[in-house]
Amino acid sequence: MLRCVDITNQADRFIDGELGTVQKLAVLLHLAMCVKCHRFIRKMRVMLANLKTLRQETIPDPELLDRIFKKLDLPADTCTETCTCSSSGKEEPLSRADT
Amino acid sequence: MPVLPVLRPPQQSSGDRNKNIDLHFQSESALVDGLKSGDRRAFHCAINTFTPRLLALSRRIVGRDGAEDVVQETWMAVCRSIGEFESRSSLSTWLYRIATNKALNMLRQQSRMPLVESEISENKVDTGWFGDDGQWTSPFPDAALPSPEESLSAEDLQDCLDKHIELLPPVQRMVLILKDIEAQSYTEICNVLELSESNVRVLLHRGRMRLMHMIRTYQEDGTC
Repeated sequence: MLRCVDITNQADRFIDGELGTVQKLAVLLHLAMCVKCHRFIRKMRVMLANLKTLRQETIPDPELLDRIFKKLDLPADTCTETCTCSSSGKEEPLSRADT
Repeated sequence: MPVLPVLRPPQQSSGDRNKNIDLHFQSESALVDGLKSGDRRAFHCAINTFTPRLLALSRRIVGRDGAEDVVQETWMAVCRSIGEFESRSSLSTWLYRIATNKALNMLRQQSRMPLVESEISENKVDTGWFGDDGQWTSPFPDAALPSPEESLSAEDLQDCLDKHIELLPPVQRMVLILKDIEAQSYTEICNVLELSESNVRVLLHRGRMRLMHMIRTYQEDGTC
């Protein structure tokens, strides 16, 4: 029988779906009987979902872009800020959020 | 001094510039071809498109002060080694790998101790949640956490998570950022950080437990 501390130690693999069948059943059995561990796992799932929302972009200072262009010997007016290019393989312009 | 590829000026007239750029780089392979042939427009497009994400990633890893240097070094490295890019991964994955390596190098230079060894040998995170019998002595409160949708507006929680991610030991922080925020695979993380999967898992577990500890405090008394 797993102890509560064993559940937190296996929480990563359980939530990420990496436990084998027997181990997974043992965790599920414990969770069915232990409200404290059930609550912990639920909160950890929500925390991980919240972490995903932190994926973001930072608008660079135009001076940073200028410095990069200069270092690479690119004239600043080769293209404008509105210049778009796709790395998605689809026809629409690249959405930065999808990268 | 690195030998940079000779960058070719655009061949189209300036009036058609943006239109032609759109037509030229509608696929990743077209963009990669442009970068490999030293097309200036390709570099401009790639830099304008990917720098915001690279900057955000670098800021999380090395902090605000060093992030711009990491991004600059990343693009210098891209310029030097784009010829070696074999499209085994997406261009963005390759760029993030370079940026992560540059950030890791910066952290190594700032630290006197070898980063990874010191963090792995550190003792287990003592949460104080369990007694000697392995049972909860201090379970989590029942209060609900905001769902991801709700938390988009709950800036306090996001700020708190950001703050505590920043406080994690450097490699633990990198592992957590790459796995839980950037959704990279264990294989990718192991390659970038040159760590075994078991070490990556240990560091990830410790990082997550530290954040859970923070969330508990946040829920109990609203402090961060």
